Amino acid sequence: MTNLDTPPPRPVATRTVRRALSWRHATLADTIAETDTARTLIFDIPDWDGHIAGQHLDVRLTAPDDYQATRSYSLSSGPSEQPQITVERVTDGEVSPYLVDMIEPGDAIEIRGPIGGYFVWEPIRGNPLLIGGGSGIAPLRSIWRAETGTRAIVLYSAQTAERILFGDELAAGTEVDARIHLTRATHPDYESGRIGADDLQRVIESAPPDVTYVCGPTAFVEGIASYLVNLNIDPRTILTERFG
Amino acid sequence: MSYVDGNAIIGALSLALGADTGRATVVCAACGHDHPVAEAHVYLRCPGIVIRCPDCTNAEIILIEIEHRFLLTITGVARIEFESGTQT
Amino acid sequence: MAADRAFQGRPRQVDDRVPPGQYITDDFPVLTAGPTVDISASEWELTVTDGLTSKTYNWAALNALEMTELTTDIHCVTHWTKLNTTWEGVAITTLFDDAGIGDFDFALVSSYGDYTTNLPTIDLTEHDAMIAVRFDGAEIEAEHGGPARLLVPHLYMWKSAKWVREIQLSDQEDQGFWEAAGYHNYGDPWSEQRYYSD
Repeated sequence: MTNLDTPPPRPVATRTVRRALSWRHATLADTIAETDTARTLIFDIPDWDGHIAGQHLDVRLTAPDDYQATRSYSLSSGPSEQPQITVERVTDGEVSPYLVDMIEPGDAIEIRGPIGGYFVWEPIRGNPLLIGGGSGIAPLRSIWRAETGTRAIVLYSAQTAERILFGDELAAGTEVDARIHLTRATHPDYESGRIGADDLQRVIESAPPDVTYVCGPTAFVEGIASYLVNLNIDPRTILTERFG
Repeated sequence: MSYVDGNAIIGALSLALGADTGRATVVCAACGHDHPVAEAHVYLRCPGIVIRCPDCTNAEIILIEIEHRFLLTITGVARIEFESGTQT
Repeated sequence: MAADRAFQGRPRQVDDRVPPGQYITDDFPVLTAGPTVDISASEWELTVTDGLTSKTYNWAALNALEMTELTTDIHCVTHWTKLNTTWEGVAITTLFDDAGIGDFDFALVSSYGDYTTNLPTIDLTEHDAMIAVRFDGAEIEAEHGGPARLLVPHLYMWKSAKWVREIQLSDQEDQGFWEAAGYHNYGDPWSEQRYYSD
């Protein structure tokens, strides 16, 4: 007999979703200076259950006069690693200078997440091709850290050698086969100039991907996606993340 | 370019709808284009969030957050589909 | 967290000339609800109508009207205020007199693209409102609403429709883009009328 005074239990997934999608406090545990302009922030987040590669955190900062600013940052940690984001300092930015230059371990911050279900990778999707522009490399790292088995192929467009994120890891080549392009400088270890249609074609022919992830500034993502479609990559297998 | 894509507003939209919209899709009321919310062209802080059809730029959804309330305008959406969360 | 390390955001200076909740900026932030409209002066037209009488101005026709200059503060609902901005354009009273349109209570302003905003006609005719064609001594950039935008500086800047295309007067009040989405119908910065519930 049903007790009509007791409401039916809410599905577990909904409770989990509400918790993940509400603001909660996290503590900065550690930082890594990636470059002169970028820093990785590693968090202690209560009730953290891991994330799916490609997901992000929303971060909210509150000033003493209650002014608030909210931004989204991709998780650059692997799915079972301690959550971290990698932030590039934007000139005249409102939030990034604080995250790159000011916040220190022990400081609290509000986050919600992990968030995302579109720009995500799970093994069932197959072999990924990862293409990143600037700090768009951040969620791609979460994907190559997740992959077991084959090395992920990464095409990475950075402005200068000094701005390359995760450079040592990319150079070591154990988890990832990276081709790095510099757009504003030349360097003997890297390709010069933007990632072009021929660069994409070469990669696609040597290792046809099951799914392709493109992340970076809007113009970069749309240019690359357009090349991919012209190279007969099925648009339904191209996942994009544009951050302006 | 002044827009980002829908990935940036999944958190806010999910909170507004009380459901995970990470895989949500919308049908544009103006042109009928069926696309993931994540692929929409999104204008942030302008002073609200405006989510536009990537094909025809119609304003599909406007989301404004004030204090403890959401103002959600969905007149540009013919249909939105998202997970109910009843799968465990 | 140590006070000196707290998040501050952009510098927020307050002043007597600044409405409540606003901060002074030296920049001119670009806020847009949609794609920047790309319309040249030669393509641009403005229609002023009350449903019975209508007049359309092209660039030459607008510039043939008497020009006025204005120095004013402007206030955006996103909390920034810019002091002493200088504008040049055609005063709305000059425009309405020239068009010969009637006296109707409500105005609906439309931009190229899909943007609209509404306000009482009296706020166009009895304040320093204009069709602006120059800002800070130069042509208005596309991202700031050029070649011509409405300027209604006594209200929040969302009323100052960029890429202005039509002003329609009527006895009936219709809501524009942000008003229908929940922003305040009037938008007086001094009463901090940001949202419909204010």
